[in-house]
Amino acid sequence: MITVKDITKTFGENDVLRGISAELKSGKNNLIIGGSGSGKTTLLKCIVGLHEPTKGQVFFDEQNFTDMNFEQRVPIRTHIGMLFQNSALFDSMNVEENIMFPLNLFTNMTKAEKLDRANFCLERVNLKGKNKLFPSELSGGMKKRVGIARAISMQPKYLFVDEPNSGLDPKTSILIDELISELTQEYNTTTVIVTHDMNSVMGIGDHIIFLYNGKKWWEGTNKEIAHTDNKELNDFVFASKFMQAAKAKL
Amino acid sequence: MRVTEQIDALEIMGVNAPGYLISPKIIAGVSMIPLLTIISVVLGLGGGYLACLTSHDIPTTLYLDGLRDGFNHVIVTVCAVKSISFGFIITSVCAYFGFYTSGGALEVGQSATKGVVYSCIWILFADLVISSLLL
Repeated sequence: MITVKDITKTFGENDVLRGISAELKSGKNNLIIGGSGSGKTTLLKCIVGLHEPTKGQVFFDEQNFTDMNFEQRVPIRTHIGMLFQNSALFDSMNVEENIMFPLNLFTNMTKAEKLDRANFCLERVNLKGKNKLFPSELSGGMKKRVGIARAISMQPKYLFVDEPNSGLDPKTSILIDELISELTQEYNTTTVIVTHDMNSVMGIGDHIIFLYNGKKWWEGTNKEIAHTDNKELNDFVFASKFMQAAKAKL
Repeated sequence: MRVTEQIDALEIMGVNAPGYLISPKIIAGVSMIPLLTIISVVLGLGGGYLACLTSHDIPTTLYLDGLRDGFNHVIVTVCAVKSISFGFIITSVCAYFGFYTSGGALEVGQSATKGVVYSCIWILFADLVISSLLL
């Protein structure tokens, strides 16, 4: 479980996050949603330590991550897997080398064991046999899946996903969502997903945090979201006519 | 790499990204630029000898005597110090601008230009300092 306590982040005079507290549960898809500029990616980066919060703390299973220095954070980081918005695959390495990269860094596995693990991860994301392709030879959806394979190569306890559906067609988006959801169940990970894709929200949102103007505005599940009377949340979720029609049917 | 979040990916994995990305470049620059300098000096002297040999304007013995007479060990020291310093400046300045690039393709181009311009300026400055200290 990840606990976020009173996180505030300021860039110059701009308060991006204002006192956000939340509990992100293990074995659940914890979705952070909100409009552009609401601070969701900043919150994610504060949680994983890519940004240092101006105020507040983040706890990974009771361990105060915020107060740790770089070396102290390394053991926790070995349990973190992250899928970036642009997949962030290393251009100079092929698919197999990308997946084996964290294994090379943090394990004493033999090359054969690492190859086995890479093949297992690739099979898990339905990319069996694509080992030798380079990122430039992959489609957007394939890159995301390789990114997921790399993220799960170390069997993470915490999985962070930044905009998993950006730039993908609806069918691939659903496949990626389902894959993330299955992995969350399979490894009992604490999965944190930043998204503004409403299909993801309604499909896999076990626990949703809605950010508005840098504040936690609403918290609940995808079942509760349809019946909330929170105006800002309704304006955000049911902005499209399609979603309004779907809500009317509920 | 920063723009495509590859540096963030390294940091998430607990890798000391500056050390992992910048130090190999600096080591390469500091070791290879002096090597390139040695090669260029050897090729320059060898080229002079070949020119004498083929043109017959200057006898090769005279050329070799000229090399020996004009030799000053301080020049070798200055050459070594400058090549090591310039190697360090080129790699560290460019790696710095590359590492802290943010934004998109435009900023990558701007950082590349800044890297070249700033390393040229630093090289001129280092050249002045080294020459005035050693010569």
